[in-house]
Amino acid sequence: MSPDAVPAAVTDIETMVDRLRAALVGTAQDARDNRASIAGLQRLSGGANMETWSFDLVQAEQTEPLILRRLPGAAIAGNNDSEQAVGELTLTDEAALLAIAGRHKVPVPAVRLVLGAEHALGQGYIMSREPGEALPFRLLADERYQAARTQLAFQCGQTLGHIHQIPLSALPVGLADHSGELLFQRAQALLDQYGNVSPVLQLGLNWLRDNARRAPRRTLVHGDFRNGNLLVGEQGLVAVLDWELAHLGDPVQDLGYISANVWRFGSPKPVGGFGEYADLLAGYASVTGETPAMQDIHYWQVHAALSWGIVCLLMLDMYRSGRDASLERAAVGRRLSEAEIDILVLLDGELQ
Amino acid sequence: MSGTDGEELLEAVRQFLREQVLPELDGFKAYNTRVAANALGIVAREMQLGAGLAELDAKFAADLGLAPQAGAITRQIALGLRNGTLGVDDELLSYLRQRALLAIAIDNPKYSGLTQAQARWSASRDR
Repeated sequence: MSPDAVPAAVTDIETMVDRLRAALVGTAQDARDNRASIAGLQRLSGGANMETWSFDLVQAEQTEPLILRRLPGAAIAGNNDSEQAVGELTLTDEAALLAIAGRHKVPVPAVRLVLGAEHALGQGYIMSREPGEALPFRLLADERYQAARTQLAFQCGQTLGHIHQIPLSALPVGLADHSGELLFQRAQALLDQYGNVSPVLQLGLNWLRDNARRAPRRTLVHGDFRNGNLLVGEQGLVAVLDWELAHLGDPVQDLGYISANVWRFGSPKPVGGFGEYADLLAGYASVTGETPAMQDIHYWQVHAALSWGIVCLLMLDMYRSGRDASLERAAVGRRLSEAEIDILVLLDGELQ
Repeated sequence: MSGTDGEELLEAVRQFLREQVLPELDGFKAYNTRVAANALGIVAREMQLGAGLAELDAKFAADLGLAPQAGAITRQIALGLRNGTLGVDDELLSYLRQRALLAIAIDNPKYSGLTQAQARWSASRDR
């Protein structure tokens, strides 16, 4: 651990409350003067590294609902090593990207504060906690979201259109480039790193390489745009979350991803389990004037299945190496067979 | 062994987690308790179906003339596909499909991909 790293032990609730209040309000005297306090601090997600917390900042009679995303053990600057959980972006770049996306008509939470060394809370940022539901099964089953479900595929298309129209010059420099051959090289390196355990993932990667498509253009790709990472209210899409896999590449990748089988959660509807391709494409065309071909969406569905398989292998590796020996990691590691069956179904008739 | 057998113990623990522990919890711990109960279900199904998977692997390894001492057959095939020393033919595809069907039946039999695969591959057999 480098000398400027924050000790990982900043997990006791009282210390965290004090530091959050100091970060957002100032000294204890300032807090008293403003009648400010932190309420309802609770951990939302698992994983030993990346943490998501929910809390309210109460000032006078005002309550501000907030979310903290942080890597408690990571140094503030330039730390992009094994502390990074799954993503490729540092949390600082992720915060910058959220702010940029927000300025380009993409619904996102508002970044409230990017953490610095002086806050002693690790690397990360604080953002607004928007009202809505992100749990896929509730979104797909609950009566409350009936109207939202009918809008959502179109809104996803529109939003992806806006994401893909952000000028490259406006983006943070830390974004990885997954365009062209780089995509295949990166996937192969990961399959090699995790011990070449799956013939089906290799088959999928070989097919993607042999059938490489000419990308219409190179854009920002969200990379994890799916049911589960979308915050939805009764009127539809409220905010796009989880930008940690964002990169540069073929924009159609995001359209294949939102309609990948694993992210339909058992529903027969192809787009996220809630919508139809025609609505997704109509929403996309309404912003970009482009209608990607179904064949290209199919191509990126194969890639989405491969990506899910690689995530399962990463989780397994995190568990076995002891970097994050949690139940959640062990369990996701076992879901490799979902990716395998999806790849074989998608490539049915494509290989002989 | 004449007492409670392994599958019965797994089922008893699974029921305990789901019916006694889960209702007492919420949030992160409730979620993980559900994950834990599911994991025990996977182990129980592996005890029932795992031998079939090993048999399938051994049979295909023998057909292909692969040596078991060279490592897991899946790894040998993955490396063959990676390095271009192994081509994709009907036998290989058929093996990978059977293997994937068995694996998902153990890991997550409710997964929609299993139903989709069964529908497709039984239809293609009928043709």
